[in-house]
Amino acid sequence: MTEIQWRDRLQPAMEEARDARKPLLLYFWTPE
Amino acid sequence: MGAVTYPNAQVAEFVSERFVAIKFNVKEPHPDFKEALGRGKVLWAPLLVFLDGRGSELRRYVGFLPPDEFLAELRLVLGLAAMTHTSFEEALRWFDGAAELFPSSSAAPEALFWAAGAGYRLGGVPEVVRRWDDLRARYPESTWARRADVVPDEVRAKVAAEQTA
Repeated sequence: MTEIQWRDRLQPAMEEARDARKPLLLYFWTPE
Repeated sequence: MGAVTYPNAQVAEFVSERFVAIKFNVKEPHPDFKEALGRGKVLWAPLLVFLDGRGSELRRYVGFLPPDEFLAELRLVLGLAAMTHTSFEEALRWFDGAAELFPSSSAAPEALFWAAGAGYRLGGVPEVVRRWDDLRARYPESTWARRADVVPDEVRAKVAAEQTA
């Protein structure tokens, strides 16, 4: 089963997104 | 979102295939938090910020989204991203797909609104009139129908005359 692979850092994720022509999804959450 | 939406198989597959995803716990320090958030603030969570690969913001959404609503929202974002790449036919596919696959989602009327924007770039004013009329007929109570209620009668009559000529 596929799970979302959450990246750790913004800049490498932006480079990956640019190269793959994919948008970035930034998810801000709280544990509550 | 973390308990219901992200574990959903369709959501996980679609996000993995079409997006690059990062999550930030707003209660914990993260070195990229400020840069990721841009000029905005987290007034409520969950907050979703969508950027293109150059870091330009495509869209911001506050609040929980169940799987179907989220899948529609993601298609809307992909349509907006395609518009920024001037890929208007691709944008139309995403916008129309959001409305067709998830017609009861809150993203559906907005997707039809934006489809008129992409349609304008491909077919000019007649496409806007046709698509906004469709939006207003299908979702007459939506805020997006109200936003599309701007086509003067003379423009609509002119388009209709051209189509019958």
